[in-house]
Amino acid sequence: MSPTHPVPTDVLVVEHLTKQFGERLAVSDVSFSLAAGEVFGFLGPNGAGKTTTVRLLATLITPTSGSAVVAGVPLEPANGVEIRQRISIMPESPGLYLRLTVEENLRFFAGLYELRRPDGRIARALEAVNLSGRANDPCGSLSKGLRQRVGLARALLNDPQLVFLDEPTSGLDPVATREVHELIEGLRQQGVTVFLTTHRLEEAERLCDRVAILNTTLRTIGRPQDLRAQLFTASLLVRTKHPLTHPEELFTAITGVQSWQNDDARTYTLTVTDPEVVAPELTRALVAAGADVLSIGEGHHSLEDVYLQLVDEDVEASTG
Amino acid sequence: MSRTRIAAVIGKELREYRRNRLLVGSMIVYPVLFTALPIATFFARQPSTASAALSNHIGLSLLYMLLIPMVVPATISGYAIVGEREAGTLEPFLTTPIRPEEILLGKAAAIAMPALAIAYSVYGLFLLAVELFAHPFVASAVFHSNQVLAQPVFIPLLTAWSIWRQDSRRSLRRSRARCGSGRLC
Repeated sequence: MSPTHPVPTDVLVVEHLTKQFGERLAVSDVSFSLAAGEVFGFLGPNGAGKTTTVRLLATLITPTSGSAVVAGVPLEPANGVEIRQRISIMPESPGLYLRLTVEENLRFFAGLYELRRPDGRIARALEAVNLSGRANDPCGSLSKGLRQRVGLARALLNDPQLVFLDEPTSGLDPVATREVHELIEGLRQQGVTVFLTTHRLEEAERLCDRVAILNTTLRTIGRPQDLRAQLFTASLLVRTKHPLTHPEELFTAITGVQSWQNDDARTYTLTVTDPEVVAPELTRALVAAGADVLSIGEGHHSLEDVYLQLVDEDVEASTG
Repeated sequence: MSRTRIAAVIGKELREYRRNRLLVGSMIVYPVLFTALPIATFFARQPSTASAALSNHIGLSLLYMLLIPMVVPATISGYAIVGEREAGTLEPFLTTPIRPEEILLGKAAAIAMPALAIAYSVYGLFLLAVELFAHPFVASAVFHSNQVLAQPVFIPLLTAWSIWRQDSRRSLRRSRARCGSGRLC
């Protein structure tokens, strides 16, 4: 995939980033860029190199080759401290000091970021995650969802330009997951760029402006709807009460129907050029043919279909 | 290097030690063990003890007490780095702007502070107990020995040596190696 050329508003520009651990290639020739205020989803199967990429960009490990500009600072050994001042990371496990209170945890990190007037920053961060009332609770006494929130509050302390969230909803119940989603929406509204690593495709589809699918190499990148359009043709689903007597005759007579197939005796999938043009004509034809139509709808491919299609291709390529 | 970051590490470490019952227990038990025996034997000493034997006994007892600045840092440092790694707190810590030398300095200072405080307190209590409860002849021999003056000098030296020997740097490197290889600092 060719690198995206940086524009002035890009918060992250990655070009041909590669990381090799001994013989094992963890990340290969990855290039992409993130605009300011964007929520970017980074997807891929286990071992695809997602966390390695985050660690590279967070200056925890050095790349084997390639370059990046993180929050306006080139990813070079001399710039590690400056980069880490401008970003923040919330790992999958928030990694809190369980014997310390919520406030003490945040105060420690405020010290590490050398924040002036940390009290105000801590209060704002706690308010942002609705934890002001739990400031004096030991982190060990909090539920997993609340710990994730403390982790997010910690990630907001230094007013970062770019926040890396690594599986922020992993292991959370639906209510806690919804709260984290609301927090990410809140970050977007504040103009913070979010780099979201997740396995939850519906989460990425719902929250992200763009997504990238990684499987050691970058398989694809774009808006979820564009990826669906790239990989899948448009289709219409027809359900009838009784099987059609002459479906071949009926469907091929309609302009814009490229092909059709029976999913079962009463369900038909039609590949069409443009659903909005074909659907009205199809409806008329079905009614004229005396079909008892139960439903006509557009075939929907989710981000999960895109993901599975690409990952399956990789599996086939590696076994074939 | 940033004093603020080093102070933050020291403050956090001391708070964590204080709330770790196992660590506090270890920090109390070892010094008590290493002090009880010398004090008990000094109280049992009579004026009839030969001065050479008494001098040897003083030397051995004080040497025994010097184990405190060696054992306490070892106990704490085992927790300081390995504990972070096991609790999963090391990675968020390393993603802040802190430099490795600031981590090491902050952790070392946080280990040295309680170790020195315990070693000097125990030594002071030992001298007080000897002054108050030992036979005056024995007390006089203790206070006039050269080792009594040497002890306060050796305590920080042994503490520093013990911290260095625990090899926090190597522990930190091992921790980083788990993250990957080579951090940009």
